[in-house]
Amino acid sequence: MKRFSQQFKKKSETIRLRASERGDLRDRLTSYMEYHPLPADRKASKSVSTEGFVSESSRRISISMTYVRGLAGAFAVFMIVGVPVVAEKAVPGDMLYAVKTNITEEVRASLTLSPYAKVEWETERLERRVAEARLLATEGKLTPEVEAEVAQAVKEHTDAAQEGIASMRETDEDEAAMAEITFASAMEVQSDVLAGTMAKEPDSVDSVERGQSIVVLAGIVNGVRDHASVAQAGSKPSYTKLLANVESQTTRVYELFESVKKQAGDEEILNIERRLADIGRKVTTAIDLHANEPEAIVKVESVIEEMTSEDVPAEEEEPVDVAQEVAAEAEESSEDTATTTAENEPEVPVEEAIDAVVVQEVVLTDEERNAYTIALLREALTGVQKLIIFMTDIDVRENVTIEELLPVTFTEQERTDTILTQLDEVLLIQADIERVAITDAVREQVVLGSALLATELESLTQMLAERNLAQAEKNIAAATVIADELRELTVDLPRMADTEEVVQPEVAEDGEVSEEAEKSEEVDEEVPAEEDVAE
Amino acid sequence: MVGQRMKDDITGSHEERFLKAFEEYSDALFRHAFLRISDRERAVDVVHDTFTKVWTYVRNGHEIDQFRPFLYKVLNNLIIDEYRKAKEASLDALMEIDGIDEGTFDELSENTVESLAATLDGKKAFEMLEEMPDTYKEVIILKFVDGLGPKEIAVLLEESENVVSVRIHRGLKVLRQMIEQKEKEAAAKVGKK
Repeated sequence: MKRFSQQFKKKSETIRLRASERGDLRDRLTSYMEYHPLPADRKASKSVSTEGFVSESSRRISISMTYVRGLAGAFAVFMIVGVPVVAEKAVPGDMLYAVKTNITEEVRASLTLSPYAKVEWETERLERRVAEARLLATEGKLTPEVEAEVAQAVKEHTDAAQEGIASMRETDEDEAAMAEITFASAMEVQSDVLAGTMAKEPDSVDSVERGQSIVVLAGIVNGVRDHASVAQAGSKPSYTKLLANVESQTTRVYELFESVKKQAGDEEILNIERRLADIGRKVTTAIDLHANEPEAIVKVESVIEEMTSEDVPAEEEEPVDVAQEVAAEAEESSEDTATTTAENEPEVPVEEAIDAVVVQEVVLTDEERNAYTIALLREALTGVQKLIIFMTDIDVRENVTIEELLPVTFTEQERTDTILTQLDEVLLIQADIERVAITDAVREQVVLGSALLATELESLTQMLAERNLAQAEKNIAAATVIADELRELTVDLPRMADTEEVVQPEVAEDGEVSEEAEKSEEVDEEVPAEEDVAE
Repeated sequence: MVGQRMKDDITGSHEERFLKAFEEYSDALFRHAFLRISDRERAVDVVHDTFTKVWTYVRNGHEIDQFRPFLYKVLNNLIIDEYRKAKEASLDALMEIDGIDEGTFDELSENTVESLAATLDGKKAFEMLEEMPDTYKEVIILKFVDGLGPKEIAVLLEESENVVSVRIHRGLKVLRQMIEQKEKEAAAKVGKK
């Protein structure tokens, strides 16, 4: 019996109203009830004392029903259309801010279907939060509570974006990598913007407080940026996808550029054109490289040499390392440290110079070339995206210069020119120092400094001859530092009669590397002699 | 405000109680109606009519203490109306065709119903339901689908409890016969092949 009724019942329970049928039925029923309401006296039944009160109030409503409906309609329209529009401009602390973040933005989030669009939208929300915080900070309204709120929101959006990227990675590795690059470059911009805002107003006590108040936020954004850039560097997008993305974004940049050209000043236009040219060069190199053009390979070889001579000490020199270093590290990353070490230990540059010569013989494997191509394209994409943000976001433009955001990538010629200009300056200083009547107090330092300077310049000459620009740049930077120090030591001391004046104009006119090198060597050799005279 | 709200929870306005009954019983009523008339749309309509009729009853000043039996009663009447409209063969005619005898005394006992039910396959029986004469279908559904006791069914159908018990018993017998019949047919088919 039990089994029978159970089976029977179970079977029967498969029969039920569908949700639509049920909803439909309920609607029919409630409208029936509306058109056939209970008579007033029926409502007051069941002997509950408050019922009279209830019936009175409901009667009043039923009289003005048409009005109420009209008003309700207008109100609903306002709530649905008006409030979100007004709320878009709200900042933390405004009444409508919750509407903006919790309703309008959430609705948009739920409307974005593709995971890529979702990550983009989360990134934009993060940018919005940072922009709001900065707006409040400049108005002096950023309280610690609000900042904590913003920081929390930043964290949430970061998580959401990273979640999106992670889920994307399961289906489409390339797309995920692309999203990662976009996210990382957006974060770089935000962190630059925050730094810009902080640097902008250190004047009054008031603004110091303000500046401090976004310090926390800046710290968080920097953290996110670092994390994102590491993650971004770890991903391996395919060449085709990356190139396609770079190209579509570049098209967008050019469109944007056309539209802003009319309002932008000459300088701005030049600046942007310069960045576009940089990006274009990177893309061309990458394409050539991918197509196995020998010219591009030679070029890259020299770049790899530069990079490795900067980054890898002699003992760890391995081809695999080279590829990794190239892919992972930005050129400027270790420049500062390199300068200081060079200053402290005069032997280092020489050693590095030898490394560079050794590296030159390394033959590029396919893997290395590929890694470098990707790294180039990645850089190009980051650059393009930063440009887009720079051009579209007035807020960013106000707080950051384009140079801070996207430093110019110099061509070899430009780099050589810069080195030569700097060299001229150093040589001038050197010549000046030679004329100084050195006192005993500073003699030791000056002699040592001059020797160091001579070594740097010698190495510089060699590097220039080998077209190892990175090393040469480092040498000249070290030389400049030493020269500056020497000048400071000797600036108060009396000068001797001008004996070497002839040297200076010749050096200044010099454009040729080899000649210049000779000159600098000559000058170097003369330093001890000069000192002897002083003694 | 708070006080009033709490009272509403206990007693409830007529509208609230009515809508609550709808939420609670609409599925069961629909199931019953669908099994009886085997037409989804018409079953939904019958359920709708049931509720509007009950609402009208409330409007007219009647109190309903318990919605369930009342709803079943109205539904049942409406289903019978449906049958009349469809002009289906009368119960007697059906019984003659199936050749079922008048019941004996042991059919009145609940125990025999249980032992009879134990011999039946619930799933197969359920599939047979559609082909059953409505008099039996009605009680079987009320008992095994809606889970009403013989007493409740008796009140609902305005019959004595005895009559209800006999009907359930016979209904089960009919079901068994039908299942056996079907199995025989199936066996015959296989045999022919």
